[in-house]
Amino acid sequence: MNLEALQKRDRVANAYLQQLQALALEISAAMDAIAANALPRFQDSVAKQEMLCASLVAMANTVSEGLGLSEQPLLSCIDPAVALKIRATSGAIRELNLKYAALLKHSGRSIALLISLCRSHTGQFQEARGPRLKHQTWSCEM
Amino acid sequence: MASLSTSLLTAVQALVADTGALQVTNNNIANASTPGYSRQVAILQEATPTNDGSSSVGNGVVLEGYQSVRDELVQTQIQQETQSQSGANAQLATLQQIQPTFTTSTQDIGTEMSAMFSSLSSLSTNPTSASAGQAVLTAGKNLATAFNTASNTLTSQQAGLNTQVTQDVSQINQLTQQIAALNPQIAELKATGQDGGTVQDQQNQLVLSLSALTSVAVTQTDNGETLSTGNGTPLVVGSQSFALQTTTGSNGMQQVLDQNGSNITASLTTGDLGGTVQMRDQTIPGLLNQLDTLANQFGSAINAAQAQGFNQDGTAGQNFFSVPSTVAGSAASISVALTDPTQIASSSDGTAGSNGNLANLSAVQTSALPAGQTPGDAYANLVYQVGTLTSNATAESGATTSSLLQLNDQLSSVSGVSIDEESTNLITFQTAYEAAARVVSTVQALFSVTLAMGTVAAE
Repeated sequence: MNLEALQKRDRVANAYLQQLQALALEISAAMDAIAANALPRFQDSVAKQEMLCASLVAMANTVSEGLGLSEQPLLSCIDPAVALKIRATSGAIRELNLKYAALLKHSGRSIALLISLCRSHTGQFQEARGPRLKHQTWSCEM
Repeated sequence: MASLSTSLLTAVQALVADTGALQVTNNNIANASTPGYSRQVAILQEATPTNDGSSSVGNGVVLEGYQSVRDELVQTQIQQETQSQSGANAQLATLQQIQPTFTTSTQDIGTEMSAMFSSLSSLSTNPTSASAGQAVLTAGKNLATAFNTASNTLTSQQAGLNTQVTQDVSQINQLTQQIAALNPQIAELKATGQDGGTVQDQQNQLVLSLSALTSVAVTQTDNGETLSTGNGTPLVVGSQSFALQTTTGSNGMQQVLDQNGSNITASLTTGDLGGTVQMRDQTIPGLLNQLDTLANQFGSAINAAQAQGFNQDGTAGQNFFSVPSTVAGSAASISVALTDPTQIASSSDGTAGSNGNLANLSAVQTSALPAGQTPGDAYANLVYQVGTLTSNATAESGATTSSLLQLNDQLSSVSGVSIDEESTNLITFQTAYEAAARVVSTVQALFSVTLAMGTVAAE
């Protein structure tokens, strides 16, 4: 591999690592946004995640094609230190993704229940006095 | 026509109403960090208008009273999430104790197994060497000790969980007593037209504490809250609480009985008690069974290889390991049966100096055991399972914590929200969740690709 190809290889590997790190940060930010019910922040984060994923998939394809510079896959001969960081970041993303999926499952259930409550609601959204009456207000709707 | 005094009265009423609302706000602020406090709102209503026959004149607003803002739906969700979180935490705490035994360390089963085959390889170069033979015996003993340690770790955790079951049941009984005692107070307050907000808050906190211990279904009745476990076993009805009991089962483990003496242990799935029972009765026995199977089949395979050869004085090889005839308890009791290095059946033909049978002993490393995997792969599978269980419990615990934050945030923001606006927000949230779920799938696929690249790169 010539010098130019080596430089290009290192650039792509480092860019891939940066994108992975950015994705890990975005997943964390999305989970914080869900916990805080911060809808715009959550939407913004999901949009960024989609962009990062698309970019990473494209890069992965590029890598697997070896940039057309060599018959070997690109990452098969990159700097071991960068490769180690890529593996560590991937591991961290895997853990985060697992937690993210579980959080979406739990929060999704809550949101679905609240939506069904809103859909079945008629009249004013005013709570009756005392817990029992309030319970009756929505229990039939559930 | 409204007179000046009427106007003044209207203004005074408005002032009183505002003052009342202000008091409520002050109270809310003062109690902002009080656990379980439900924010209150002032109920302002239009005063009855004065009707002079031809027209109706408004009289401003009056302070009707206060009411607690309590979103029962969110409250119920918080209880459910608390149950899930406690269950996951109970499992995670135990798995974190177990995991170090099943990770690659200097004295784990996998390392000791490799050390044993390595010592057999060394013996092969000099089958009559006493020191090389002693090294094989020592490696065998170390491996047996690793099996014993892993088994003891699992059984001691199981014993600890068994004690926890009794403690949880005791706490559940205390809480249900306290909850039942509050029911008549709340009913009395409501009967006199008062809002039992403070007492209700207190009861909600107790129910939340109970949810952390076990699955609870809450139903509102005229006599207050009726509580039952997930399978319908009553815990509180009106002012009466029904205590759960524990008894030692045929397996030596504490079983949970309802007030009729029926065993409800298997139906306990969430809360600390559910997580504890799940670990004690499902997860740990499953891991123990795999460990016992590995110890039994590995010991038997080495013994079978020994039986094919002869020791240094020409007699047929005897058992290397002492393993029970049944799988259960094999890991706890496996030990080295040989007492002298000369008893290792190195020879294939009975002549001293032959190393022909050492190949049979070494072949156990690469041969599939009756369970279908090589000893190394079977152990790696066990390590993977413990790792996966721990990762899942960690994820579940973290997710429920965030979900609880979200629900608590929702609970504290209930009031004065337009139903349409709220509904729109919720649907937007749901759409964003769906998009996020797609990202989760993409990341999962991406992880495999990246890991494969990293693996190649690390080579």
